[in-house]
Amino acid sequence: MTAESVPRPAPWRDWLLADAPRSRAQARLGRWYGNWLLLKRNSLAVSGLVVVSTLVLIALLAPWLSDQSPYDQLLTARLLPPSSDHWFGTDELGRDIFTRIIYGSRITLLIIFLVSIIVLPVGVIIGTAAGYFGGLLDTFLMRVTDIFLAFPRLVMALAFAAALGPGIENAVIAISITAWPPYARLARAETMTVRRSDFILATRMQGASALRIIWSHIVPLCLPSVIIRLTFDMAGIILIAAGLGFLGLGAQPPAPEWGLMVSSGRDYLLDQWWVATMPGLAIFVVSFGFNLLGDGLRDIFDPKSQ
Amino acid sequence: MIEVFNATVVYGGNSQRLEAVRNVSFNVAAAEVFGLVGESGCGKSTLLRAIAGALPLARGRIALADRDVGLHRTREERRLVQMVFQDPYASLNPTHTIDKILAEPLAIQKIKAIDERVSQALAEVGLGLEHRYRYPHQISGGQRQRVAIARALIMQPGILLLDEPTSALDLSVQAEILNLLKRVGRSRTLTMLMVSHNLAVIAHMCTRIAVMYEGEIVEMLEVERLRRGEANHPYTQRLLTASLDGAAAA
Amino acid sequence: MNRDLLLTVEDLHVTYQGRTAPVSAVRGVSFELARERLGIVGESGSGKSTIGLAILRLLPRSARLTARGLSLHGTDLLNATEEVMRTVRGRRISMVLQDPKYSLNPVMTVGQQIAESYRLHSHASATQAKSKTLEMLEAVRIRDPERVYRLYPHEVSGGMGQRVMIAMMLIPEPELLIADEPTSALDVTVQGQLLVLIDELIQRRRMGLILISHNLKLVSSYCDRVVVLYAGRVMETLKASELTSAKHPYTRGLLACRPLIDHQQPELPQLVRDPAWLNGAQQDRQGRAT
Repeated sequence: MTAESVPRPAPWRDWLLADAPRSRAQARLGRWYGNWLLLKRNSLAVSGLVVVSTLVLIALLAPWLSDQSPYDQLLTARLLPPSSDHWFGTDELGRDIFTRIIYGSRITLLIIFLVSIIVLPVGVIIGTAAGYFGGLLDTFLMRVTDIFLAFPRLVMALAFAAALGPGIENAVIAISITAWPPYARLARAETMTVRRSDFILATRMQGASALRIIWSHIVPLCLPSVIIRLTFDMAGIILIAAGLGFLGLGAQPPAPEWGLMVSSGRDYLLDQWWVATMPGLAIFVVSFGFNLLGDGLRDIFDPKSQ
Repeated sequence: MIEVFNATVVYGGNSQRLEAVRNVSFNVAAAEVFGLVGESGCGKSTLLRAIAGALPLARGRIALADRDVGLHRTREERRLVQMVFQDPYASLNPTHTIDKILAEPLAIQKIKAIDERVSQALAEVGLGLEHRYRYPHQISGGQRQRVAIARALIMQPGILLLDEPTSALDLSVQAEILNLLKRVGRSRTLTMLMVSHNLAVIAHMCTRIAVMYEGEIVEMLEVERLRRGEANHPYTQRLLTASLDGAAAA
Repeated sequence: MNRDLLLTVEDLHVTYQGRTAPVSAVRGVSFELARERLGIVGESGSGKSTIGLAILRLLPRSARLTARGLSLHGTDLLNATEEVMRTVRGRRISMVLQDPKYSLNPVMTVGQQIAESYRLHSHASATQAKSKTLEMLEAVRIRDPERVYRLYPHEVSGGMGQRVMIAMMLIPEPELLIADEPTSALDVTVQGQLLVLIDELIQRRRMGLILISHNLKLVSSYCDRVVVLYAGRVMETLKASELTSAKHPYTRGLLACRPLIDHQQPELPQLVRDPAWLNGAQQDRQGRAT
């Protein structure tokens, strides 16, 4: 990142950074803008964000980025090396690898999205409930969590995927089932640190219900660290999804899933290196991007570093 | 208004049992300002938290406005007692605006005209409307303490518990907060129970004090007698000498 | 100056990097210190702790320090290398902070920590260091030094912990002790004893003392001179004995707003801050410098 240029006074900027906001909306937007300024100053976070938003853009603009189809086979053009016609070469069925990687980003994003919306609520609800109520409920929920944590992730995901049958939806379910326990642990730990806070007691003294305290006080305070953790885990989730695809338990051919593509390119690794390498690089870049973003977010939002 | 009879609060299980408060009894009349003074670990804050309904009693009983109360209280019983805490940083949720902090209790108690009541509450504690949509980190420690007082008062309680409300503040800010507490206490005829390690602050605010030492009340006396130096218990005398020395003036 | 000057601070400025703009913590502070006891008093945000850290060059990296002069008995602290500063810290200037809980290493016994800090600056053997440590623990009036030597930080009370800190800081026999709110975390009945102890040790070793505190009254009873800070500027410097005749309205306001045990006030006088103090003090300071 280059140094920030001296900001010219812009009215909207003053409005956002106003020391005394005049409405709820202005206060909230101002807070977001303040966080954005912090994020902008952190070069790690910015490079991660660039990678992740590029991924989203590529997924959205896939049909415009390539005029070929990810599925059309052309057996006369099998295993062509990278060239100006086929930037990343072609695979064993003559499909353009560049196009397939572009369309594959949609599958990757879908997996990320589905896993997040399953894992986040499950982890946060179980963790905050265990942490806030304590006692028997805590013991029960944490033992269940321990049981799930005791299995190696990939093996467990494999078992679930095998039991549920191959397919992308089942892969997502399998990954989610193995991914939530650390989030429950984390949310519980965060809850334990805030539940004895004075402001929680003050809210209890107002007659607030447990549900209200958890929802409006504890969850917002747990979310940053849980989201940061999820960003870090994204790399692992993408890898597990690719791993399941590679082993034939995730997305099924002819879907342009990156792991599946690496798997089919394995047979040609020595002579046609690009078939497996290109989707492998895509997995690497996206995982790395999420890791960078997670690092940056942690620097910004981790209360301990402030 | 507040009756505490033989109250004992115990921390820990069987192996590491600690009686933080032991057989403490006292009464506070309506509209009286009563002080609990003692040094760290004497049990004064623990006792206050038990009265607030945050800790259970091992023995004894607590009655507020002539009704026995325990750990589980009705919404009305909750509303009756409000508290102002020591650390103005920990007592406000950092992710809520001042507006939300003051509106939440009204929503919980299903009180109407939230907007108006929030403005009134801010005015009562001497905070301008420009603070309304700020976050706690955007205001000073003294202003935060004012918000905490407004949050307590907005519930229209009969009893206000003060847990070292000024010990984290600068001296000049302490004066402002003490004046504010005295003013609202008088205008709303609040019964106040104040806990502090600072004898000068307690003497300024209260009419009667109890001195706590190692979980027990060792002496109860009128502030007038304290001012004249007429303390009986040796610990009270030691506290008084140390406080008059100037070393403890903060 | 014909006095034996220990520390000179001339026109010290410290600026922190804020979220949107730089924030000035110290703006042009100057003072001199002989082998005497100097109090620095101010409220939060006055920059008093920053001054202590600046003298030891222990400010966070985001802070910018400038000064016309900063020297310890002929050693230029402003341009000293990190290596020189390491010999200054602990060896020549020691610092005692507010809460011993955060200053002591929780996994070492307090005795080991004191002995280690001694051996760091001298080439004593382990047995020599131990006997010196026990001697020092006795000097800070710990009744049973042998027993306390073997205790871990969590096993000692706040007052005892602060005594241990003082022993640790004084054992290399520094020339200057900076004590930043050394008693604010302690109970009132212990505060006095500890300050008397610091005072005695300082006098006996003919050391300089900078006592940083928010408590004007406390500082004036244990110091010779008092520097009153407000918003990073010196409001006035006065003899501790002349505190009651302080001229500056800020000093007077701070003295007046304390509640008193021995007589009743219906309302406490509130301090009214005058923006002009920031400019007025600047002129005053420059006037003194010429």
